[in-house]
Amino acid sequence: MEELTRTCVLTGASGALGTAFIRRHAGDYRILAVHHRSAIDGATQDQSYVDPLDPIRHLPENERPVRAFRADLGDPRDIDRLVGDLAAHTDGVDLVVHAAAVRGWTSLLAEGVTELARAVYQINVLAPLQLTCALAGRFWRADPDANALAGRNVVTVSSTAGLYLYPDLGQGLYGSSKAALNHLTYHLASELWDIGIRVNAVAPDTFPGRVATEDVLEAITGFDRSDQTGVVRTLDRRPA
Amino acid sequence: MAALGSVIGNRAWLRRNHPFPHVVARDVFSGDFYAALDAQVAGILGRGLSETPDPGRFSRNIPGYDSYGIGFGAAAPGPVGLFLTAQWRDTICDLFGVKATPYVFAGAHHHAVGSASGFVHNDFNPVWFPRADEDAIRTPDAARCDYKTGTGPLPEEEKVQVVRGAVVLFFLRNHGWRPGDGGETGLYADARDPVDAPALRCPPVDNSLVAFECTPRSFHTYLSNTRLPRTSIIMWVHRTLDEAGRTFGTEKLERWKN
Repeated sequence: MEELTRTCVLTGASGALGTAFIRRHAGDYRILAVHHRSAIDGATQDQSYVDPLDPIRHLPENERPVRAFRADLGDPRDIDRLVGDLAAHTDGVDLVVHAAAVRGWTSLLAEGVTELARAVYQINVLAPLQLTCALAGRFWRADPDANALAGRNVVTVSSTAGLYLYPDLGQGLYGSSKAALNHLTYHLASELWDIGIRVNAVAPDTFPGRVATEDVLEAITGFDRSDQTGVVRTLDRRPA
Repeated sequence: MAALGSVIGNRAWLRRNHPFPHVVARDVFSGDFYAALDAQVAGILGRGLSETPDPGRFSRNIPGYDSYGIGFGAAAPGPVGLFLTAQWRDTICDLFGVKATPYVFAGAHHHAVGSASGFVHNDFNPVWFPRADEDAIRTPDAARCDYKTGTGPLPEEEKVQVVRGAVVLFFLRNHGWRPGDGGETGLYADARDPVDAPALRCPPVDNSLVAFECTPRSFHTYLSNTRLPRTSIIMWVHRTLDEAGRTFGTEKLERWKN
C-alpha cells in the first residue's frame, strides 16, 4: 500500500464535513482527526469495521484508519494538551483544516446570549487561532524553508454567513464569528508567510443543501495543492 | 423468512470502544426489507397504544419506563420474525463472542413525544425462560414463568435462568429525526454519570442499529425525545449463567428491582 506522505490535522472530524473529508481523503492524507463528544464515523486506532455475516473477512474500509484525538476546543487548556498529544504522534503537520464549528443560532435579545457568544467565538475563532499558533510553534517555526518547500498550509472553514446578512435566522453570533474568522485568516496568512505557511479559508453556503459537500472538500484540498495564501473562497448562491 | 444474507444491506458495521465496546451500523437492511419491516410495525402501531398491559398492542408494560412495548413470539410472522431466527441470533452472538443458547427476546418500544429519559443501566440481568432444546428458538412465556422472576406454574426442572448476553436496538419509523430532537440511546462510562450527559449519543436514524454485549459496564439509557415519537425493535440474545459467571462474575449480575 502506498505510504501517505502528507499529514493533516482535521478538527470537527466527527461532523458532517469532517466525516466526508475522512471518507474521501483517508487514502490521500495521514489524518489526525480531532473530535469531542461525537465519535468518528469510520475506522480509527480503536474503531474498525466488521462484516456481521463474516466477522473474520478483511474489509477495505479498515485499510486507512485515521488517528483519533479527543479534545474540547472550548477549553484552551485542552487545546494545549491536544498539541502535546499530536506532537507525540507525528513529526510534522502539512495541512490543518479547521472544520470544527458551533452554530449558536439565537436571537440577540435572548437570555444568556452573551454567554453563548463566548462559547461560539471560542470554538469558531479562538480555537482555530490558538491551535494554529500552537502548531506553528511546535512544528513550523524552526524551518520556514522546509514549510514553503512542502507547501504546508492552513484552511479555515468559514461560511457565507460571515460575508452576507441572512435576516431573521438568528445568525448574529454565528455570522459575526465567521466574519471574524475570515479576517483572522487574512492576518494569519500575512504573518505566517514569514515562516513559510500559507493560510486560506473556504466560505461555503449551507451544505449539502445549497452547495455540494464535494465542492467544499475540493476547495479545501485545492488550497493544499495550490500556492495561494490569504484567499477566502466563497462557494454560494448569493441571497436575493 | 428470507435468508439473512439476502436482506442485509450494509455489511460493514463499525465496532467502537468508547465508552464501552459496541457496534453501530446504518443501512442495516435492504430498502425492500426495511420498507416491509416499517410497514409491519406501522400496522401494529395502528392498533393503538394501550395504557394497560396488552399483548396485542404497544402498551405500558414496563414499570418505571416511559414507553409502550410489545413482545414478539417465536412464531412472529412477517419481517419482525427475522429477529427471532437462529441465523440472526448466531450473527449477534458471533459479533460479541456470546455462546449461543436457544433463548431470545425480541420486541419493540415506542416512545411518544416528550417521553422521559430512562435510567442508566447495563442490561446485565438474569432472566428466566421455559427450558428448550439446543436447536430451538425459545422466547419468554410470561404465562408459564415470568421473564424477570421465573415465578409461574412451570416446574423448576422445566425452566432455566440465563443472563442477557447482547442487545440490539434497531431504529425504524423515526423519519425526519435531526440532532436536537432527543430520542437517542445514550452510552455512559459509569452508572453514576448524569443521564443528560452521556459519553456518546446513538441517534435513532431509520434502518440503523446499535448493539453491544451486556456486561457490568454496558451502561446505557433512552434519552428524552422532544419533537417526534421514537420507535425501535429491541432484541436480546442470552448466555448461560455459567458463562456469565466465568466471564464477569455472578456477583456483578444486576438483579431486578421491580
